[in-house]
Amino acid sequence: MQSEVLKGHADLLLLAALEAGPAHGYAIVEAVRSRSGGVFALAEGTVYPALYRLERRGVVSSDWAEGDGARRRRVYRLTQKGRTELGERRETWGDYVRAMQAALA
Amino acid sequence: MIDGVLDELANELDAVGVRGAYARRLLAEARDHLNEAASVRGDEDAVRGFGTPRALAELVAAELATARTRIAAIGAFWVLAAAGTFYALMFVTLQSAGTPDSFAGPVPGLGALALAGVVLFPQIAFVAGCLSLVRALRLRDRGPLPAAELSMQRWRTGVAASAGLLTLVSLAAVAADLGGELASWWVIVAISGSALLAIPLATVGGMNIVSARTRVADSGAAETVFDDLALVGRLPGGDRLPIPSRPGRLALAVAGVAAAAVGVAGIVAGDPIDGVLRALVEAAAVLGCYRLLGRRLGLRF
Repeated sequence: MQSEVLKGHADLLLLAALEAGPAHGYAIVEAVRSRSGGVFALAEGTVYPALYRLERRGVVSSDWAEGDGARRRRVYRLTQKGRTELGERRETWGDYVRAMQAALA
Repeated sequence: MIDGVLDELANELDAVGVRGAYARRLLAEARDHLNEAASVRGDEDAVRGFGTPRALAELVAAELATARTRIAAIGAFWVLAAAGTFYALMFVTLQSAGTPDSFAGPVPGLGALALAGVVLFPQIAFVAGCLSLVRALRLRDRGPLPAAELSMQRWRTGVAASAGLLTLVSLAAVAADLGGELASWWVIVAISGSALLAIPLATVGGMNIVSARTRVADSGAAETVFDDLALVGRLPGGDRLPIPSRPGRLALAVAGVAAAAVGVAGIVAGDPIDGVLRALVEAAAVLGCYRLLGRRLGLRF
């Protein structure tokens, strides 16, 4: 899908990908890709500034953790505020999709 | 191949002014990401999927500049709110501290000049501070903003902080120059309070300047004052305030309202001639500021 179209919804996709549990950047990108059946392919590097922004807003938190082979990774997780926001945005998005489907039917 | 991309990313980040802990964290995460992707898909595919270092550096710069500009704007508003409260208290208590002759100080003209500053600069700080806050709050959920938008936001914050500082300097100058005719407690509070409040005000001014160090490539246009007024101009019940739709007319309307308020205050105080003269000066000052700063603050375009 075109990156310009995705850009407006990247935050929602990142929050949804983190709903299942904490993950590092690469795993988040892969989660978005697999959950969308390969349709949503984010420019992978762009998830980091987006994650930093979400962290500044307090909807995501992160810390360094030991990964495979003693490699340190930054792991991101949803905060309570993030879960609330995800719920609200999911509802808004559902309304939009239903309205769009009705309009196009 | 991955090391080459990381070196390029480090150079691009440096070129757009993203340095220090933020750059180190991004580079560490980029290395982790690329290594993991390469172990699954190979180096070439990992690098292609990651995106170009320049595009990423530009996005990071825009995100960082937007966040820093917003923080400076909101910080400036809170410090100005504290300075405004202090100013109001000093202004109200001035009557009980004495009625100095503005030309009686040891430095010729300084007292009169400082008193003029005490009246003019708070108004500029208030207007620019409100414009800055409204814009910062209105666009708070947007992603990275264009360079022109950030520049205007910084001008609003910078003018507000500068005018706030000049207000404090003027207040301290009044106390220092005319102190012989004022109660000593008022002089001490005015000078020490101004000095104390100048520190956080100068700090947020510095933060505002630092926010301009990251270079933003997005060449989109800045919004105007009418976009701000669309938010604050709504009345209960859905009606809208009758706000002029052209910049010049808006400036004339604001000048008229400000002049009327000053004139009425003069009439109420029992000196209508003085009230009318002050109203004319007020209108001229508003229009002068509009002419001087209007374009930078997004008031005319």
